Amino acid sequence: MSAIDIKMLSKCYGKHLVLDNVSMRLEAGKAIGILGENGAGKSTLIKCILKLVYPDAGHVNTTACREEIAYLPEQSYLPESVNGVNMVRFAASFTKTQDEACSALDRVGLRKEAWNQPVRSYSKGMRQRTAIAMMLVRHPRWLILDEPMSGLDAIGRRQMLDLFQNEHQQGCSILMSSHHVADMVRFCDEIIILSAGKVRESITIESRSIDQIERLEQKLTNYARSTE
Amino acid sequence: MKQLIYFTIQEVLNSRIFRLLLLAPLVLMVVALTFTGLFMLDLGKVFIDTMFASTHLLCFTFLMFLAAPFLARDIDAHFTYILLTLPISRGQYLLGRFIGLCATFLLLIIVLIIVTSLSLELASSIWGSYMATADIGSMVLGIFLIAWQYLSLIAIALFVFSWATGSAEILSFTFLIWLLSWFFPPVLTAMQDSEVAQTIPPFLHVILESCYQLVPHLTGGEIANRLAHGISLQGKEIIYYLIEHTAYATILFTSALILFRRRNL
Repeated sequence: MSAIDIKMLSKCYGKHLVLDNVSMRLEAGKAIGILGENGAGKSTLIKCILKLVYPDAGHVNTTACREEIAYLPEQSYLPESVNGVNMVRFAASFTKTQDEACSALDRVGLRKEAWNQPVRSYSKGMRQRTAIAMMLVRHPRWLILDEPMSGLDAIGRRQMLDLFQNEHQQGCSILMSSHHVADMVRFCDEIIILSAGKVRESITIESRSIDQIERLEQKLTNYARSTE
Repeated sequence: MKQLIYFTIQEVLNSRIFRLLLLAPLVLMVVALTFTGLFMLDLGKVFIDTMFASTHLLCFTFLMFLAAPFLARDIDAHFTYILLTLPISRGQYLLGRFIGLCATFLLLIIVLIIVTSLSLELASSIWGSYMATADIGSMVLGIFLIAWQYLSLIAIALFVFSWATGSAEILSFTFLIWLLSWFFPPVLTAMQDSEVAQTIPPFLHVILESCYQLVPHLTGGEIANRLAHGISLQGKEIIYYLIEHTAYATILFTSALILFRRRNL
């Protein structure tokens, strides 16, 4: 099984140190969460893994090839003039699974009437669903999700989590970043707390209780305060 | 990469600005015929001038209102995040976008050539021998050559995109370079004159001479001017012109590739 190995990763934007000597191993088959306050370096870490951003020091090794990794950015911009089905068909064309475009849109719960409408007529939630369908249609082995639930209402969040849970149960490894503790506890097997660019703690989730959520929230607050 | 070329074409064809641009030649045809009708003499020359000016306007609109904002949007809205996490390398991404944009540009030029041919036919049937100086061959050649220089200008937009941080930079720098490409070569050509050369310091003359060797010696504007006045272009000149602009596009694309491969998105 493929894994992602991150060794002594550092990244600065100007004088601002965003990632400070970050090391971790992300085992395949797990749902791993990266939890941290705004500006903790979660998105930069994910972009380094995906080679969208080059680190100043350290490296990322992965045995998974590009075809096996799918990414959902925090805000899913899709070209306004193209319709949902064609967006998903485009993503599917890399794995020759174009026939599955409609079933992928169906799985993510995009209304059938919207499939052939241009993206400009979509709401934020519909765009997010289309972007998720673009990921899922490729049958990736790794899903990398950067704040996937941002901007979604409670029902939308629930549906997205169920969808990702379903993918995970089918053997897909998931790496998700968020500052939303409850979602992370509900979904992840392991949570890595990142604060001010440093890995503070790695926690295996054994209980998904409200107590666990509160404990984690407290820890996150303490780490954030200690770096202020 | 062919998936991205096809997708780029699909994106452009579905965009409103491109559909408007496809209709523009019809409007320009009416403008050219009306404008020609206002003159008493040299109707053929007026018609050619108007159509070549329209070609420039259409190509410029494609560059500044479609190609440059299209690339800028990929950066501004982070669509590159989605594209570059598909199995597409950064080089394939740039090449796919460039070929896709050039293919749609070619389609626009084909429409313009068809409309120009039809309008010339119409003009000849109305004004007969007054249109004798305007022949279809030189019209098509002129449009093709004027459009060819915009390939290197699209490559400039791609080059600016490879390092710029957003739409403001991409649009302003592309416009600035377009403006320089319009004004700089005639000024440099004028400065090669021996009388002018005597009035400037020798070291500056060497620099200007080097710049002069780098810029195109035959521009779209000069081609339009010559063809409108019935001065034919030599085969050698046309070949040099095509090679020159292809070389600019290749150099700019390669530079864009080098810069884009190492940039943080």
